[in-house]
Amino acid sequence: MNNYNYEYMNYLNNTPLEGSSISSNDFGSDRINYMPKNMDNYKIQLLNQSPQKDGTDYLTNLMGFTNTNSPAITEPYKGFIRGNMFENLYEQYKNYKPMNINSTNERENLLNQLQQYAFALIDLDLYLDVNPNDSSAIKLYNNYLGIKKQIMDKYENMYGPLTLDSDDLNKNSWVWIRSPWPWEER
Amino acid sequence: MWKYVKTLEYPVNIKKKDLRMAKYLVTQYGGSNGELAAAFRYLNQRYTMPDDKGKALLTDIGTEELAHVEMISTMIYQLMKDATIEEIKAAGLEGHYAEHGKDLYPTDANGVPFTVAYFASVGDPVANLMEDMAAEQKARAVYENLIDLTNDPDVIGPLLFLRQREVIHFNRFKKLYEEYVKKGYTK
Repeated sequence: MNNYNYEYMNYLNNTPLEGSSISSNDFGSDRINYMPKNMDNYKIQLLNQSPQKDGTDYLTNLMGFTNTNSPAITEPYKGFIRGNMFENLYEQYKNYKPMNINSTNERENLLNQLQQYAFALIDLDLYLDVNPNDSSAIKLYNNYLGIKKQIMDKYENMYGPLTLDSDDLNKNSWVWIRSPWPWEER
Repeated sequence: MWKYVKTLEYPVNIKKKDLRMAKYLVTQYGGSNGELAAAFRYLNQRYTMPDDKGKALLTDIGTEELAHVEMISTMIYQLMKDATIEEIKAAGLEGHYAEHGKDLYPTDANGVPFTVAYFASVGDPVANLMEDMAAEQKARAVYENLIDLTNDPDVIGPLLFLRQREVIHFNRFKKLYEEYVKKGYTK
């Protein structure tokens, strides 16, 4: 397990999954049912471990999402560095392996975790647009959405708002304008 | 409408100035197979797609391409940051400097300015999707050319990511294309 995943597991260990940072207001009343209520920390922690031999991730298998019609979906970190969550569609260029993402500080580490889950959502969404009846992929989307939301709340709380509907904009000065802007990371 | 999220889709942290690479890379900003052309090609085509899958897919891929415009722009900005006039001249960017200073400007690698002629759109969903598939393949090939032109891992990482996105987009368009052919969704 690389350092990146180890840090994320520590973060999960110290962050209660249910209740604390997510209210019905965040998702709308019907969305609350989509939260991973039946997913304990143990299962969440397995998320970033290495994928199964067939490329599907632990969450997919543990939650019984396996659906013979669904393509194998890789775990979020591996999918992120590849730029592709789908085992059957990954095409390596020459001998170039995906680059590992190395963060230099805690802010960047948390940002990279956020980007990782945000990316999983982007890729699952494009798949679902043309496969809208794949219920296992829909479940996975909603579980990752819950995790992304938690990481985003934590990031915004510590380092400032990332969108203009953040809870962290209500300060004495307009913190939205603060650097770093995305093109000037590090 | 769109909402801005103050992060890149994938991290870009280029430490080494490289004006020649910036000059080539700009084609994925303002060239015919670049991200700007892709974003607006899809966002422009989405209005007349014949079903919900098509409307959703073109909206969502078009939106992701906007995030790729931001990544490419960031790469160009970081590659050119703190360039001296001598370095600008050595890289053959005097023309760019004369017109735009150190601002970004969407052109291809030969300095040809961006044009909306790059948004192909013929009023036939099957033909449009075939165009989109070709655009993704061409963009993938250009990313491979660009990867061949550099040894900097800070540049290669984001280019590999962006190349792989073209592969995914191609496959999503292909799925929809095949469905539309079956359904006879031509003009």
